Amino acid sequence: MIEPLFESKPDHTIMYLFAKKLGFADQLVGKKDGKQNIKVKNDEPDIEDITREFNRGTWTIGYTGQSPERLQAHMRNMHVFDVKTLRARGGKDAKTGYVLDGDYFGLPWPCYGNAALKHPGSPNLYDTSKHVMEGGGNFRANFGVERDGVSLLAEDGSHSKGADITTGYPEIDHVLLKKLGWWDELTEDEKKEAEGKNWKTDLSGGIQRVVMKDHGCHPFGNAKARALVWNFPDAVPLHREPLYSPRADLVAKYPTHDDVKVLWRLPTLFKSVQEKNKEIAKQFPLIMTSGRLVEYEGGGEEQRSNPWLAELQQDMFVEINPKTANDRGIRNGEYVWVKTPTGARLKVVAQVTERVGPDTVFLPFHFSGWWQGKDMLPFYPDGAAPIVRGEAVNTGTTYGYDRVTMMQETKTTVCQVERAA
Amino acid sequence: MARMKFLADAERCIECNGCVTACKQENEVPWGVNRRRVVTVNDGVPGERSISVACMHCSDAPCMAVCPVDCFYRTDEGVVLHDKDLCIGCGYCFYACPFGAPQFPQAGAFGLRGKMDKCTFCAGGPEKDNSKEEFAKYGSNRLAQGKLPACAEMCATKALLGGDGDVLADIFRTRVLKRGKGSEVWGWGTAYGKPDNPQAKPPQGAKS
Amino acid sequence: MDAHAVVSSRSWKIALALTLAVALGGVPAQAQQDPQAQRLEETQAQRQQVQPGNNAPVWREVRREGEHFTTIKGPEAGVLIHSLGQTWREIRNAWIVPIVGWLIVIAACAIGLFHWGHGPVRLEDKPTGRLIRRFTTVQRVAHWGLAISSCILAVSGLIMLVGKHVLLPVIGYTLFSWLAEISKGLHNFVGPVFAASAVLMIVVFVRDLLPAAGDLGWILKVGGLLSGGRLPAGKHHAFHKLWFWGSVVILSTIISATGLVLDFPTFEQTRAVMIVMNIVHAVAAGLLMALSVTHIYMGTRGVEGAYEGMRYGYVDETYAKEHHVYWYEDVKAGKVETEMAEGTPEAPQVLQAARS
Repeated sequence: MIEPLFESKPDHTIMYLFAKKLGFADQLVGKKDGKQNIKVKNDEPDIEDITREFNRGTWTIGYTGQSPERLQAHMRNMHVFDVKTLRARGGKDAKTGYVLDGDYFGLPWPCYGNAALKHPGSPNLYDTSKHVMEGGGNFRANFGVERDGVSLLAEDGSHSKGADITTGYPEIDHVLLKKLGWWDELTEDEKKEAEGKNWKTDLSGGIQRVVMKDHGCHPFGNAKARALVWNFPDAVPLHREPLYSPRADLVAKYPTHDDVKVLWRLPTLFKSVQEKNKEIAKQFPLIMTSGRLVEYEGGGEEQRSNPWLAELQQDMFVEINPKTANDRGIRNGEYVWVKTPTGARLKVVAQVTERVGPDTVFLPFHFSGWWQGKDMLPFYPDGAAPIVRGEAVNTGTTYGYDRVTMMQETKTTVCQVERAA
Repeated sequence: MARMKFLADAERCIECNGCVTACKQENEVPWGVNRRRVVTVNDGVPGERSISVACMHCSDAPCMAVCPVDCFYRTDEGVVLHDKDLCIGCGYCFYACPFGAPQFPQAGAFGLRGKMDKCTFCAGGPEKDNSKEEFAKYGSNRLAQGKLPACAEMCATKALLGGDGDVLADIFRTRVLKRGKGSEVWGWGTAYGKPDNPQAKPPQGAKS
Repeated sequence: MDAHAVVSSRSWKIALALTLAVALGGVPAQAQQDPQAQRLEETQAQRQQVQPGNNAPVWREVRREGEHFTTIKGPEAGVLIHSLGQTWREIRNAWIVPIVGWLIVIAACAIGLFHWGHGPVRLEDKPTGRLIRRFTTVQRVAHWGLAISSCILAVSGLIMLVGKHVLLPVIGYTLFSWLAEISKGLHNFVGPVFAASAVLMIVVFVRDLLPAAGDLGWILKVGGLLSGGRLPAGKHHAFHKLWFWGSVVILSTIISATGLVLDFPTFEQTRAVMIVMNIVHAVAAGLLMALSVTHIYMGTRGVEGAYEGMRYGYVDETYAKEHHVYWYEDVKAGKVETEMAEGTPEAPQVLQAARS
């Protein structure tokens, strides 16, 4: 672990300073009526206090059990954790007396309940071979109990090991808890907090404690995963041709979605773009895909400035099949222009290889510093230019978003490649 | 005394060039000098294999044999090193080496190549162990610190093994047996292509 | 000396055996009839279907000595195994180093024996004091340029070739390395000078050294050396011509050409090219050095009056008459225009300047 270099600051300090500048620093640290949830020293919010704050709030994810004390005890006693199972075998922290036995290292989420519950963390989700207090679980009842008359809950006999309820069951709330007859296992304080609440909103953690520790059941219910996602535009993944496709016949057979006026607060185009570009193959017949190189990462500036890594990939290149190259008179090692529907012209070195098929080319995306064939070196401040510079492939990639997640389609498009004279 | 060796397991190499980068960083090797390199055979087609190669520290090193100033020497552990102060940069070792290990910092008009540089098995050179002078000329001396070469230590898949030849042989033998070639290495089928039992198949081995 | 290399020229023998086998026996044309040949043709993709874990096709590819794929940029970075290097090592250490080394020694001894046994070739008559211009200034500059550069190159080359065995044990590593470094520097910078001088020499001497009738007879009788007399000859007798054509035209050209390739590895020559150049260079240079021993002897102590001719450009008429009588007669008859002078070659007084 090192101190931040030069003028860089820890993330949480930056967030506090931002909040200060924007005028809600007090809200950020819960400063109100003489109380303050998170101590601040030299503009750095206290890490333990931040941890305790998310411990108090994240009941659904299961970030409640990872208290600072438990985590620090883990770090002080790494040797008691088995290297294969990652579970502590015995062990007692010398500093605090905390018993480590049974904990999974780092308390992987979900780690339910508050710290006192001593949930060990969950190494794998939905593992029915283990008791819920041993890190086991079952599938969550997230989509209701039935649909179209069919039960969505787990079948009889499908449950986590040692669960008191051996059939499917819905999420646990105060009503269900009372029906099950488990309400009185809550303490008086817990009852006050849990009244009218469910496992997600009970800030005492009592519902989770009783359900898991006393009865081996899961607070989020025991249900089936669904294969048909009825609330998505396609309940099962259907093939839909990309917006820019070299195959007009497949576009006709597998058209994309209709345009959406508001998708995550923005208008998002699908069909109109695809219709406009049905004949794109005439100009751009090759599929262009982009991806990673081992030597570089992300935008690449850091590694392309590192002489040892830069030496390994000195030129931006395009992988092109021998047949495709021969049809265009391109030899290995020559410069070529890669043109795409954005109007971009990327000047890159041709790597003629069998790695790609005759209809596809591949470009790495870690390069920058060339613009439409020109090395931008004169524009860099002195000494700041990376050793290796090249065309940025994303000047060529085209518009497109996933219908459900809005994930951008920045990796592929169609293109044409021609030899640079 | 251990006899130090490298072994590059082509089945495991993923062409990550981690060994190359580790060597560069550990020994601060200048641009253009390639102590170690990864070469890929059958690139892009099924049956592609990669191999990491540097100085193999030969028992009867051709570089040593042709050097006009006899600047090479072998340590007790079989590591082939050379003395840059004696080297005249004639390039003969590069001509002779089967692996292309010797490297030169300059292109060499009028034969001016500079001093030869090559993989030292992270064992430095004739200067005092782990001294500043040794590092400046030859790079890190990990063997003197009881460590193994940086490239082999860095290898993510343990394709590149470096160290005591006997230990390497044991490791590799275990891998060969586990991969299922084992006893099928011998036998009529492998030797003559005419199996006694045409249905004979090598045992389906585990990935190793 | 590398005894190991003398014994194990295995790769040579394997190469030879394979060549013979292929030439005589041939590889079976019908692959179906010979599964072994078929298996040699299998690609790695095919092999791992039938024998997972058997990478023999890959290793065959590795030994193919072609360039494979690598992202490393460097000379022949894509070549995994370069087998020619070991062959070169064996040829050089077992053959070239000892043979060239001893050849020089033997040549020197032979000349020594001649000088001690037979003695130098003396002039029979006294010098007349009348001088004939034999070589122009340009010719002498060319010759001495070539000669001096040759000597520097020969000595420096020998230091690099055999110095490890001969000098290193005597003067130690540090001193020898220093000497070898200087030798290499001299060798590589004087080399192009040698090449240029050789070209100049050929240009300015070729006319005088064209073959003529009588040359063959002269050679067969060794110029009369064995019979005790002196056979008549023109401006240059046949041994001069042999020396010129053999050493200056052929050997020096070979040495210069190979040497320049070796001296400038900046043109991405492969190791195979450099190895072949190195072998040819060493063999040709070895021959030239051995023959030069004779030439140097003859041109200095071996033939009275010869040295002065090339050093100062003039020879006494006695020398001309005894050794190159046809040329002498042509000069006297006015058929060949050349400068005449009086005195000694060291201090000539020019009588009549003329084109020659």
